[in-house]
Amino acid sequence: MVTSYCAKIMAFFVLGFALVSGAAEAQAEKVNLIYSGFAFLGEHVDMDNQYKYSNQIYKLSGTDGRPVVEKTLSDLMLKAKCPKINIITDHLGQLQDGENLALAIALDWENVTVEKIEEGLVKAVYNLHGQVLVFDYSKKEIVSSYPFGVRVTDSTQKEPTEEHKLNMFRRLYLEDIEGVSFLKTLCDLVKKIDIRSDASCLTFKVENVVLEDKAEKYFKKNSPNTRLDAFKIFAAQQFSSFFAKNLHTSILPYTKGEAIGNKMAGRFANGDVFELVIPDGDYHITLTIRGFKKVMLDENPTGQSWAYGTYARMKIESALGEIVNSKIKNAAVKILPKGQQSVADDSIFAESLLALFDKTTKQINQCDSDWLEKCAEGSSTEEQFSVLKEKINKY
Amino acid sequence: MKKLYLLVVLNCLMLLFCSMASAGTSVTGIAAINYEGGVFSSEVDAETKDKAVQKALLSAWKKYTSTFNAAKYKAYMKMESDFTDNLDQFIASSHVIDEKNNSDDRKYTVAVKAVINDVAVDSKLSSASAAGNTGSGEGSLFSFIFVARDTAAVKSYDAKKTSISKSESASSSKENSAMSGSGMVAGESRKSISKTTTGGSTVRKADKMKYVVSSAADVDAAMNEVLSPAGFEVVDYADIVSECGGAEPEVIKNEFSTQAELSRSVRKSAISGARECEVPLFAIGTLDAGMEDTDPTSGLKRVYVSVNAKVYNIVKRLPKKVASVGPVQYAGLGPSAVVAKRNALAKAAREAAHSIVDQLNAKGVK
Repeated sequence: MVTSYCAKIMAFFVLGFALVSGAAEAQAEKVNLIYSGFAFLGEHVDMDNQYKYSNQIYKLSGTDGRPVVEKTLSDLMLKAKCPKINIITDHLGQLQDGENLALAIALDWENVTVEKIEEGLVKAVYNLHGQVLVFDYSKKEIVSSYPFGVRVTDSTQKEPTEEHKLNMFRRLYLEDIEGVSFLKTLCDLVKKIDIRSDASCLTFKVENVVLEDKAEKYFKKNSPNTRLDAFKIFAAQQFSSFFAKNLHTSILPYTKGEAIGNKMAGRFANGDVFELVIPDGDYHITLTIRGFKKVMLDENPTGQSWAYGTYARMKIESALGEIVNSKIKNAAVKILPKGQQSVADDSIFAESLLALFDKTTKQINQCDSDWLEKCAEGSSTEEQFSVLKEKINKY
Repeated sequence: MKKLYLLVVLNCLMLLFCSMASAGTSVTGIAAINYEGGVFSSEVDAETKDKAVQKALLSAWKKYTSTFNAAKYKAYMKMESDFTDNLDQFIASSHVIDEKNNSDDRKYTVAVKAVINDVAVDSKLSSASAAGNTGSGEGSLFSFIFVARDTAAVKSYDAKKTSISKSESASSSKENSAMSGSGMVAGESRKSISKTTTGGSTVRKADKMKYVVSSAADVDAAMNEVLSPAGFEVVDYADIVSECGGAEPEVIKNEFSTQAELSRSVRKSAISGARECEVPLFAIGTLDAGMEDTDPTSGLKRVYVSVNAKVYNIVKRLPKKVASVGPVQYAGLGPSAVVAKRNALAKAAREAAHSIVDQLNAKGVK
């Protein structure tokens, strides 16, 4: 009887220990990320212009004085079951304790385009583009990025008022429109986060964004109220985000901006984290935006189809010289119903540019000859991409 | 259990690596090396690659030392081989970031990124310096008065302008007369010339600044952080006043709240007190915090601090200036102006102390 009792106690302890050590191992496999809430990518000086509606929505606060966006987001985050990460919300990060990774839900593009389809019918397209961003404050690099966007189309009899536009964006943030919710979609992405420990040691950085004459003229004509530098930052951030996602490699940010320099840094106990200086990368990336051009592809009695072409050049170089230097291009197709009275080109060009960055960074891994022939410089680009891919895998 | 142990060890190693990484400076070095290849092989052997990597590390090291200030470089040059012969002691980590093999020319080129352990470098330089060579408790006594000031009021004077205007006019006339059959027609043509000369002088009067002297505790801590490991024995100025006399800290603060420099008598009194206590090195400095603004990139509060300091050897009757810093500006960022200012003050004090140590080491002061 006593022996059996002892055996039971032993079994209880063994089982208990196994459970505890098993749980400890499972915990150990998960990466701790300091939760930083919602952030705006880009520079502080451009916030009001770049995120006109989102900025107003972010300023809405609840009865406890906390921004409603933050409250909604953290409620969603608490429900998110992430198999590979622990989201730390109960304390500030301590760099000296190895808590160096911060997670933010960041907005990087807000856009609304209004087109008059016919008399008494106006179409408005609302775009919000963001990313789940993981930044390493020890290495000062973006270790993971999951870009995504949501879009809703709204039809009205008259051109939507500013109040109507604001309400549409508010619903996208805090409720949903026909099942489309910006924050909910972002939180779903958080579940997929996987911080790879076998990532390349190389650090890449977009060092420069150049606008050729044609591109600059187009930009100044279509976005007279936006700083040229704000567009360069937008392009660099979008490219960096797709690069990190599609190549599973770290990239240094083009600018620390408000998200990394302020919002995310504020979640660390170390006050000197605000003094963050982004170092130089091992591989420098120069993006040249060569121009934007739209060409009619087809026309029939029901309407027209147009290709919105974005032309760029990507140069990647190490201390030993150029590795990639190739022209790249992409076309986004838009159908215009016959009789449409106004067309908003800027948002479709922006989408074309984002798609170009997404496809190009994917092609560094895939090297699809057909795509490279059609959208780059064929075998020459293919050879360059292969060399780059080899270096990423090797070092 | 083994796994748990391994995890603990791995975590410790990771922490160690992180702390090392954060203390290091990354530098990239490049090296090319010609090699003897086989008749049918264009492959580079491991020995050649290793030689090239070592050469690239040396190139990275040279690039790193070229960023030293003049005083630090002078101290470094005296013991260059101690560093270059033992590079592995100062390079925390390194890895190849790119390589190229030109088989036609049989030339192998490699680029290596090295993380240099700044703390190890500074310790080595300090150990060879006159001050660093002394044992604990035997180093030179060093005392300083550093005052952190905020601009409280600026009395601006408008530029005083004196205008002088001088006008001159001259006229010339010419009489024309012509005879006609019935009489004389007389006419006058008058040409007027006027010239105005303006001039004068503008007298500008310097703005009168008033400061609020704030606590220098952060500054003292940041200075000590650098001076003590460098072999100097830091003595609190308040202790000097208590033991040997000298101008009271409050008197010094009051003077610094209205003027840039200490008055002759207060400065003399402070130095006399320190000399009386057998402190050979004495520094006086100010750290002036400017007005806060908003950093356009991050939206954080930003404060600039301007540092100005002089170090005197006061062993003999006439104090000799042995080091000076500034004026140099450092910016600090933070979610509030208070945090931004503290960050800026700590950075400015640390940099000033580094500069002072480098200058004293270069002069062999101990």
